[in-house]
Parts: sequence; structure tokens; C-alpha cells
Amino acid sequence: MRTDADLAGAFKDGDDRAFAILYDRYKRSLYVFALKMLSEADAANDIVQDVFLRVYEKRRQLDYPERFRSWVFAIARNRCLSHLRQSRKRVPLDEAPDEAITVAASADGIEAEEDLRLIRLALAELKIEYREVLVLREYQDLSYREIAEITETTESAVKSKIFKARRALHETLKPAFAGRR
Amino acid sequence: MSCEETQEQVSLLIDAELEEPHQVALFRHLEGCCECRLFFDSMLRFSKAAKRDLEEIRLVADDILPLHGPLPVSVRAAGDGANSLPMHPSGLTGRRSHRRASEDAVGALPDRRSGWGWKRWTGLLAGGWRMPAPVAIGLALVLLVAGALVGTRISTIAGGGGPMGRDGRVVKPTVVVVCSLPEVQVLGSASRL
Ligand SMILES: [Zn+2]
Repeated sequence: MRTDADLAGAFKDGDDRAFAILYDRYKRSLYVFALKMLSEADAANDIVQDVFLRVYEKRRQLDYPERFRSWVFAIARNRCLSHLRQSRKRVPLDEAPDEAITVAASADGIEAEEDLRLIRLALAELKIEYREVLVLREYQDLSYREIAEITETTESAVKSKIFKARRALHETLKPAFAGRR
Repeated sequence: MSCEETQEQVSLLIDAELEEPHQVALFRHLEGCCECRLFFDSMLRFSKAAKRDLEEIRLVADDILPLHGPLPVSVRAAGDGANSLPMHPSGLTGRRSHRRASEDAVGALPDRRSGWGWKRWTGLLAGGWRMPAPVAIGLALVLLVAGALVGTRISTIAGGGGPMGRDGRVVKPTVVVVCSLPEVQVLGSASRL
């Protein structure tokens, strides 16, 4: 199997088939990332298409093909943040749904299903700067170094942010988890 | 070691970033501290559920996302296996959800993608008829009335009885309106997609 670096290099030199393979390889991961960032399936789908459109257009700017993954996630992250800024203009923050706590408090049922539902809600409640690093770490399995590249910060800042994100998540999940231990 | 430091190390441990010498002290603290054990347990449960969440979303993604990305048609046709896929009238290949397919059929918003044939054949409708939902509904009503008037006129010309159905009953000539109405309504809502 050709490596990302190999494909990205070929794509940069004009090989559209390499682009098609990269799309197939990354579309799901980027969709997961966008969905977790935005909590909107349609928007996540559009972001994936938009990201690959930009990837195609900006291929000549891909200076380090071996860092394709960071590069493509950085583009996705920027698109998501831009989408969230636009959404915030349309929907005042005080109208944002606040269901995680109430749902969590009344949670019962099959444990795994409930855990899944609870973590989805809790994650959606997190501040965006926490959510993005946690999603990149827990869902995408990216290293601190890659997350630092994507979020344009340092590894130690990523480490600290992931910890703070987990603490915030724990505070949200604690009542529900404690009730079902 | 404080609880704050312990939990920081728990976070590193989960990410496989905690060196072994630190792990001994960490587990010693965990043995005697309920609060930190709760944190550890919570985070493990989160990680486990996140893995399931990931798998579920990836399955859905396969169903939702276009098989091929925003590529020129020529590339898709020549690409890896794309030539064996049925071509959608819009120029897109591969599986698509019913919702997306219907969007293509009635015309989604024209955007930068249309330059590569993305939903291109519907571009005229979508580009020319893009309007907010209230305007669309208003236009639909106007068409409805116009259709009814035309229908009445046809009925009169045809002899007052109106066109007859197979079973002999009068068929109201509203077919023009029936066709127009959903198009305009969907286009109206497409502006929000
Ligand atoms: Zn402690």
C-alpha cells in the first residue's frame, strides 16, 4: 500500500488518481472530525467536500507531503472554526441547546449505549478549544506533535489543553457516571 | 503527589505518554484516592465509548459521503474503479444517500464545486430560482391559483365536463401545479442547506 507521503507527493505533481486515493483514505476521518466539531451531519459532509476542494486547489502549497495528515486536518479545522463563527452570527449563544446535564441526570438503560449517548452530549458541550484537541486525540489517534501542528501551538500546550479538556469532560460526566457505577 | 498532578498524569497515561518510572507513583496515589480513581475510570469509559462512537460514525459516513471527492469528471471516469460505477445524471458517481440524491435531482445550491460538474445540470434551476422559503411558498401559491385558472379554462374549452379519467370520473387538470409545487418548495428549503 502506498504511503500518504508517496501519494501526497504524486498528487502535488499532478497525479489525480493519488488524490482520489487520498480522498478515499481520509474522507471518513475528516467527516468524524467535522461532525464532532459541529454536531451537524449536513455541515460535516459539506466540510469534507470543501476541504478536499481546497486540498486540490492548494496542492502546490503542500511543502511537506509526509505531513499530509496534519495539513488536511488543519484545513478541516479552519473550515470548522469558520463555520462555527458563521453559525454564532446566526444563532445567539443563549439559544444554544443545553440538554447534556438534564439528559445525563436521568440516564439509565444499557450501559454501553448510555455511555455512548452521554459522551456525545458531554463532548458537544465542551468549549471548542477543548473539543478539538480531544477529538483529534481520542477519535483520530493523532500524536501531540500532530495536534500541535494542526492547532498551531506547542506540544506542551496541547498536553495541557487535553488534560483540561478531560477535567471539564469529567465534571460533566461525573453525576451520570457516578449514578450508574 | 497532589490530585491535580495525578490527574494530569492519568491523562498522559491514557495517551501512552507517561514514562514508566512515573507510573508507579501514579498507581500508588490511585490506590488511596477515590477522587482520582473516579477521574481515571471516567476517562477510560470515555475512551472506550469514543472508540464505539468513531466506528458508528465511520459506518454512517460511508453511506453519506460521495464515493469520489470533488474531482473533475474526467478524473473520476479514469480513476480507481470509478469507470465501473454508474454515473449519476449530475455527473457524480457512486453511492449517495437518498437525501443527497434528491437534492441533486431538484437542484442544490450552485457553488464553487459546480465548476467541476458538481450538481451542474441542476445549476440553472438552482442558480436562477434561488429564493428564501417564504418567497418560494408565495410563488407556489401563485402557481397553484394560475394552474387552477388554466385548468378551469381548459375544462370550459373542452365542453364544461373536464377531462375524463379511465373510470369516467372528472379529473381535475391540476397536473401542471402538482409538478411545479414540490420543485419550488424544495428549492426554497435548499437555500438553507
Ligand atoms: Zn487524588
